[in-house]
Amino acid sequence: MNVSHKPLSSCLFLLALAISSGCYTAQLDPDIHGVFVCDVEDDAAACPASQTCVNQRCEDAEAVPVVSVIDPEDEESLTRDDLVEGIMGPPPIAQIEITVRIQGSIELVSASSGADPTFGEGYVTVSVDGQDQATLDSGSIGASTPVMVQVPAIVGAHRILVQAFRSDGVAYDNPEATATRLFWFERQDFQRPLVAIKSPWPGAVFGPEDELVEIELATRHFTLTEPGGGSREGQGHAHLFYDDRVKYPGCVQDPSCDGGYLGIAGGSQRGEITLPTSGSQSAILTAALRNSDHSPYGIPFGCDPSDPGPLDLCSPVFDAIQIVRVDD
Amino acid sequence: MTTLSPDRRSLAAGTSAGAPLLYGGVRYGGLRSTLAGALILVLAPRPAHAGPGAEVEPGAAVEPADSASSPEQDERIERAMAAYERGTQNYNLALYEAALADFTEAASLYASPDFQFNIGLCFEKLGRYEDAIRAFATYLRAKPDAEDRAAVEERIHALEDENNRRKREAEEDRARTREAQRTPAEPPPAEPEVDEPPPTDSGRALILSGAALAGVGVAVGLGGGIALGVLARQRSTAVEAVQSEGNPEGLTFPQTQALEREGKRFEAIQIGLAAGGAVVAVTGAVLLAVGLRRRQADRTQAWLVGPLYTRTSSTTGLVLTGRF
Repeated sequence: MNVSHKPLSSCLFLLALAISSGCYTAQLDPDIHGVFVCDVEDDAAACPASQTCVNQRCEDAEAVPVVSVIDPEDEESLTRDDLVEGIMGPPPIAQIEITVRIQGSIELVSASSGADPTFGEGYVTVSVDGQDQATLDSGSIGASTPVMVQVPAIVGAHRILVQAFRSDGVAYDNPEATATRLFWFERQDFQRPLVAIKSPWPGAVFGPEDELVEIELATRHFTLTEPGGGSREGQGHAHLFYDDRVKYPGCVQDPSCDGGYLGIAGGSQRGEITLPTSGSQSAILTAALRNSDHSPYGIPFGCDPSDPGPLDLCSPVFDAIQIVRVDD
Repeated sequence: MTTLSPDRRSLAAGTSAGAPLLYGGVRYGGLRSTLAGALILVLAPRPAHAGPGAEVEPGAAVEPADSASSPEQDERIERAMAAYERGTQNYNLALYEAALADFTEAASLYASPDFQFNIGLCFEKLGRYEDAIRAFATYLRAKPDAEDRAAVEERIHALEDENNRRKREAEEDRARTREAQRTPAEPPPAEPEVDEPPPTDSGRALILSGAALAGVGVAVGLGGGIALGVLARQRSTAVEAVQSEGNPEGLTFPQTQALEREGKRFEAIQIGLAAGGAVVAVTGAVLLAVGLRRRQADRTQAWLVGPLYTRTSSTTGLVLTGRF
């Protein structure tokens, strides 16, 4: 009977049409790289298990660029006789060439701003004390690779930064793509206490809101102890300052300035300060050594840097780095 | 309608009201012994002779009696007179049937034209005009020299006219009756009426429910399927854009996973709705088809047996209807 088949076939046809009008056909591939947006600070924007967040994209965790500094070793002291005290007079023009050995896993390619970067490819730069010293964009750094760099001939801490960049000039922001190394320059004939801010690294970026920041210090010929007791040579604590006004060594002679420290590092290499709310600007973090009674530690030991007099006879011991405060 | 004026003068008028008059104004009862066998007795119930002139003169012999009267004859006369008297009384009491019987009896006992006249009157009162006319005609034949001949003849004519009129009216009534029976206003006499049960459409419920189910199924299947299919397709397109077009929307992996889950959920719901709609639609279509088949079967093969009765006749029976 035709009349019974017609509506049945019509219904089936319409239903088939409805089904075929749209359906889910995509197949999500969790192993695909460089596609998904991510945020390392947001778990809701995490990457699949086998990937890691690099430059806000989920990438293959085993293909991330990695660089490391083999030599000099961490906090290694390099002694030279031609070094000058940085706080004594104008900065020295002399440079001392040293060999830095680095190693990493990145496909070195030349920088090309217009090209679409390929993850795992790029170039590597080596800088010392904020000055670019070398760029490696060919060959391989799979093995220990020597890089000759020039270091200011100044007694104190010096910092080596090795950074992997994408071919478009954007730095890889995974932790493995950055390597730092702090080392000391010391005179062979005069070894005195030294202090350096090991963390944060100069140029570190912080937000505008108040923020508790852990300060890691490195000291040479000086032992950090809890405040209190009598002053002893090569022993004491460090005052931590945050202010763009704190400009040592002059600040040590300004009680209102010198007394404005925000934290203390004593008993260990670590201390904490709370960064105040700030606008977008650069700021100075300073660590200044103190005697146990909070008086400025002076070189030579026993002198008072805050006491008016020729500074060349009594110098404070401090390290200052620049950080950046930016809006989100 | 012409009505004959009753003329009871000869019956009612007389020396003694209500009493029959002997022809010649002599009471028959008082003279019975003297007249018997000698006098010619004329029984004149003073019937309706039209007009006084019809009266017989007193003492005049109308018909010579048998001079040799016998006791039997006397008895017959006596009985005739008795019947005549009863007839007169009944007539005066408007008991015309009885009066007719009495006058007829009297006429059978004694031959007198006047008895026929009175019989005619009774027939006339009873509306039996033809009988009345015959009785009056008999009266005139039996009494050729009747003084009231003209009046009686006029009476006969009037009765004939009235009788003819009544015949015509009767004929017209019969004609009207026949004509009315032929007109459509009357229900067809021979058309049987079958007490049919309410028309059965066994497929109607199935058709309605089937159509409703089919409609709902198609609506759910199509509407839900298309709507959710579009949603699923949108998710699918978005996921495909993430993976093949460089993630232009900048979606994270969890967001993409959510899109995939949504897309698959929409697809599952779409399939469910489409399948459910298909099941409902197919069920409705089957019901619809069955209903249509039943309806067609009802129309093509239905036969019906029912009682038969007619309004115009007492015919009863069974009627078998249908298509075979």
